[in-house]
Amino acid sequence: MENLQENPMIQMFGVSMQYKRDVEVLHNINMDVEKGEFVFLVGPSGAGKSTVLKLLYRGLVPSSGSIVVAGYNLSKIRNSKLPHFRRRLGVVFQDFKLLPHKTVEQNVAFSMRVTGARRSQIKKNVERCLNWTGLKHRKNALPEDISGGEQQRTSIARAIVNDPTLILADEPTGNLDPRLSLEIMHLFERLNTRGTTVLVATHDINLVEQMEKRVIRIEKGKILEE
Amino acid sequence: MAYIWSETFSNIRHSGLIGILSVIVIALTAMVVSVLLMVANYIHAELNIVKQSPLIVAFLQEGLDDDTRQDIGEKIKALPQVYSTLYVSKKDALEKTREMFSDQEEILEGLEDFNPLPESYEIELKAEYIGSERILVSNLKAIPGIEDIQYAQETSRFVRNIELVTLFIGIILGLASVVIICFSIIVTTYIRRDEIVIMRLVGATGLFIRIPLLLQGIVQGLLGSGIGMACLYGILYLLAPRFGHINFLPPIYIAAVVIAGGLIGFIGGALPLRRFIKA
Ligand SMILES: Nc1ncnc2c1ncn2[C@@H]1O[C@H](COP(=O)(O)OP(=O)(O)OP(=O)(O)O)[C@@H](O)[C@H]1O
Ligand SMILES: [Mg+2]
Repeated sequence: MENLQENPMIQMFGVSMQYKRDVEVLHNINMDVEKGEFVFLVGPSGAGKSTVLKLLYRGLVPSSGSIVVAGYNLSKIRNSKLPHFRRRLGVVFQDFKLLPHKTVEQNVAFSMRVTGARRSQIKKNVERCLNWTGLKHRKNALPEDISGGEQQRTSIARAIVNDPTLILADEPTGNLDPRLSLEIMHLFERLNTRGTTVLVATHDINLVEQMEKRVIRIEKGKILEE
Repeated sequence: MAYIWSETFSNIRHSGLIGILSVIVIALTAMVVSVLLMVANYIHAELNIVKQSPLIVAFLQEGLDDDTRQDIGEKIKALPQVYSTLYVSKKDALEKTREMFSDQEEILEGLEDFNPLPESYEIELKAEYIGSERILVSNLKAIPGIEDIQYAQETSRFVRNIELVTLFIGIILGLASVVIICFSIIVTTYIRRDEIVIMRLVGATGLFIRIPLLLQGIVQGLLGSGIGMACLYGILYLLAPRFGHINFLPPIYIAAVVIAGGLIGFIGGALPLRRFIKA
């Protein structure tokens, strides 16, 4: 365990990615994020930010290179271990990925349900996260009946409900106004001070500048200087 | 647990028309299988009433003494398939033959002095063993003193054939139901594949996703066969004034059909899952 503490939370080494043959969207990416860091991943649209995040939660497998996240070597991880790995993460998806037949509350609860957590614990955590994201009054609505910003906040609430060791947030404020965006960032910051590592992909430069955190720049599939 | 059930019923609600169709197909299957069972039962019962002579006759060896003969009778009676036995002496046998050939007396003249007919036991089977005489016959053959056995192979074969046909059609329909339920669940998983991907992304195990689908199959199977039995009962009830009393299936059969429905649902639910719920 002592040994694990010293390893970075995220390690990408020589990672390349092709969705289709001969079209490489990431070129030889090397990237380390230490435990407890708060990092922004910025770059223009199409730079490869989402691709990086997808590789990190193993929604994708890289064409080459190795990735270690939260102590799991993703090129060697077995399918049966995958759920346990993903339960340690809190992922905010760029397209939200809410379950359409479940209410806001049930969507948030779902990522705790899969862990087999106790009902009372689930209820407590869900309520707290709905409060933090300002969704209390919409908790019984279905995703199709709420605004884009509310869907995004539902996705955020679901990502943090499980007390994850690592938050991977893909454009988490893309549908929020500046005030709400900042509020969400402060929420992440609060979680970060309690030990959660945070990686946020965004192209909201204003927000990044206000937060004064480490920034990793990516352009055309390559990491630029930090 | 409560969560799993609510998930199951939510699945069923959202499987829509295909879910309803598969329940209907199982209901129809259950009805047809039940009618087949009723026909088989009916034939059994009819044969029992209609048959005039005992189905099986065991002829004894010549010149047995009274004790041995009685002993053989006891042994036959002790066999589980035997309902009753009747001893027919050489004299009785001659009488019977006489009755049969009453218009041709001359054939049997002089037989009183030298009677070639053997003595025998006429054996009546218990109703539930009609159609499986062969086992009894082999049991009888093992009893010393019995020389020959005659039985109405034709009737027996007829009953067995009907049972085989019933079984065959039942199996085919059962398989058809399994395929239909499989199909229904494959379609459900296909329609919901995006949701399944999301569930996996937030850390659900395959099992966690599978169990509600498995339960969906079982519920559909039980629902279908239950509805089928209820409909059949209703129809027979309505037809009763026209056709006279029709015996519905005994409760054990009803339970068996409904449970078979659930089992079919389970199989249907278990089969298609592996391939469709990978990562
Ligand atoms: N499923 C896919 N199949 C083929 N190409 C893809 C796929 N997903 C993304 N790409 C390509 O990979 C490149 C990087 O895409 P990615 O989504 O990672 O960019 P991004 O930095 O997240 O952009 P944005 O800021 O618009 O979200 C783009 O050129 C995109 O067209
Ligand atoms: Mg993106």
